[in-house]
Amino acid sequence: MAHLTLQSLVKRFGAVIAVDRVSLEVGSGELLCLLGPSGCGKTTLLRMVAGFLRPDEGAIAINGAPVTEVPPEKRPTAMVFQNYALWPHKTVANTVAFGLRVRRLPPVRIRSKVAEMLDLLGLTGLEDRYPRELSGGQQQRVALARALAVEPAILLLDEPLANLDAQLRVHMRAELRQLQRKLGTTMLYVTHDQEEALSLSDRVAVLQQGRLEQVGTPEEIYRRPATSFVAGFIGHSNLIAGTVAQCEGGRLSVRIRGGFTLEVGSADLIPVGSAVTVAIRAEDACLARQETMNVLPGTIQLSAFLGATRRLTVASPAGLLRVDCPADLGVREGSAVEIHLPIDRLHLLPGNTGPAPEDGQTL
Amino acid sequence: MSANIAGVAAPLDPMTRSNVRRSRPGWPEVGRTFAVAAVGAFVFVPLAILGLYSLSDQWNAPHLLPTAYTIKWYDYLFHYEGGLSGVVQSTLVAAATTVFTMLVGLPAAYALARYRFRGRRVLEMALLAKTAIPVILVGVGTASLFYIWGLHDTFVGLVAAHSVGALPLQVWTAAAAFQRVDVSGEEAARDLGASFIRRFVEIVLPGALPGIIASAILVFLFSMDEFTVTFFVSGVAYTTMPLRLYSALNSGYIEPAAASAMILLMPSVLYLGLVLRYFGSSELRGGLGNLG
Ligand SMILES: Nc1ncnc2c1ncn2[C@@H]1O[C@H](COP(=O)(O)OP(=O)(O)OP(=O)(O)O)[C@@H](O)[C@H]1O
Ligand SMILES: [Mg+2]
Repeated sequence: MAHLTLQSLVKRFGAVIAVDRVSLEVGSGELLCLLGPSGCGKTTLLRMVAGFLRPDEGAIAINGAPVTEVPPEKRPTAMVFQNYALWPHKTVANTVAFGLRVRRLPPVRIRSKVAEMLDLLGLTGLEDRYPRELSGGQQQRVALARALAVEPAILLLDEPLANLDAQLRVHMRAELRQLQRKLGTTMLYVTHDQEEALSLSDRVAVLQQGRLEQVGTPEEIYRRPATSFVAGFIGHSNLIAGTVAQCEGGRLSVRIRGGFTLEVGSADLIPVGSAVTVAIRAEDACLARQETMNVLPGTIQLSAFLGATRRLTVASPAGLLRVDCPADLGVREGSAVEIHLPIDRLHLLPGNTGPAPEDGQTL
Repeated sequence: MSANIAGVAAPLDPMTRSNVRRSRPGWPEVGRTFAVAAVGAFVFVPLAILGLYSLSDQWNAPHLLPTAYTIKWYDYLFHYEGGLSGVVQSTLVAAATTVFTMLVGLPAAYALARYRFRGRRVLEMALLAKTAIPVILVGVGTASLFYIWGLHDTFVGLVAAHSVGALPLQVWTAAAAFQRVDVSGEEAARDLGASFIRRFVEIVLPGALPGIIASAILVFLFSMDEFTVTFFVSGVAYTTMPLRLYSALNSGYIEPAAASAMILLMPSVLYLGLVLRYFGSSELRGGLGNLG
């Protein structure tokens, strides 16, 4: 068990800044997910922690001891690669034993440790199989067993479930979580799957274009996104651009397009005229009954049945808004509706450079 | 319905597939058979004639086959009053060339396959240039250098000349083999604490082994076959099989030349056998299946 400190890490590839001044603490025994869209620098960050890439700036410390200059073979980290990186000519048992043989453990200890790991990951009986004789899920577990066998201080996982089918992914996600609880290993887990990140982690770090957007518990990230990027990336948020028209007593009036005004609760005093973004999740918006405040008129463009709910895409003065309503609600595409954006569900974000509501938000 | 079943079963069962194909014979089938026969004739008829020559004691014009057989030509190749026979010398030179080339070429091949390093372009160009320059120029150049260095007509000289010639072949073949070994497998080993030597021996080599063996055999075959440069740098003390073959032909003896050729053929046959055994024989068989 160990804690990891990243201090203002920078990594450039030519003109591309893959990781831009990322500072992060991963506590002992914590599972932290690095979440972000493709190409945001997750793998680059992970490979710097493993030692395969040298940061251009910044420092990495494990348990307070600097490791920036330590080569990967000497770091107390172990990595689970996205493609598993199993060795085609080694059997399951030999694969799991590899790191232990490198550490010159006595053969008896190696045998018992291998048996223990295989048991832990439900691989008993597959000792003599080669990778090509294993299913995707089994290969994934062998990669995990190989890394865990050496009892790393920090386990690094690069989208370990990305190559599995949806059902197995959910199953392995739960298994991983249990395993992590049981072993208490500090884990840095890379994923671009928000559901995975939210359900798995103690904390989530959202990365975009190499920069850390927000670090927090899954609830914080979901309920109180710090930036419009996080609000847009996690869940299905509507982002409405506007300017502050009035600010008093913990409540803001935000003028949006079409001459409408939204009332938003806010503890902060924000100067009148500031550019802001109002965010609301699709599941928090609803069709208006007799409310008068924060009601926008609109036309239903699309009504998509999602099983538990029905998602409406509504053309409003504020742009296209996504609104979830009960699945059995009888609504027709093209009909006029009024949308209610409850004041306690509206979330204020600084600036309105985020994607304008009409851009690419259909479902 | 039945067509559907055949369509489903075909990819699973090679027998079914070939049956399906055979069930619709036609002109392409005849053409393919003819092509195979023609190729066979071009390769095997001269070989058969050579084989007969190498064993013939008497073979005169009206007769379709030799009238008397002997193994004295092979005997002649293995015994040489001037010292070691051509067969033994060729084998020794080829073995030494193989060992030397592997020692120099494997690290170079690995570096080419894995690293972007300063001088990489130079190395690539050098390897390419070597294959682009006419061999006869290389022969003359090497010979004049060897006269100065005192390497003319020496074992070391022959091995050096053959190694220079074989290196590009070896390096490209081995580099391709190294390239096929997944880098992340090597990284995984490193991540678990394995030193460079350990990674190379336990992870990289097993993956690249077929290609590396192939490169060694290619070097061996190259050395056994090499004529032009050898012609310039060898003299009386050291002479390899192709040179003996050449001088036998020059003196009007077809039979010992044929025997030399048959012996030179053996490593190639061995090589093909190994390729069939270790490099996706199924693919090769598949290829033949498409032909026939
Ligand atoms: N070796 C490299 N050379 C040049 N550019 C690179 C290299 N590795 C990564 N990059 C660039 O750095 C950026 C971050 O890449 P990285 O692989 O870290 O993204 P990622 O978040 O892991 O993406 P994904 O989810 O697709 O795996 C990308 O723009 C990528 O093109
Ligand atoms: Mg990645």
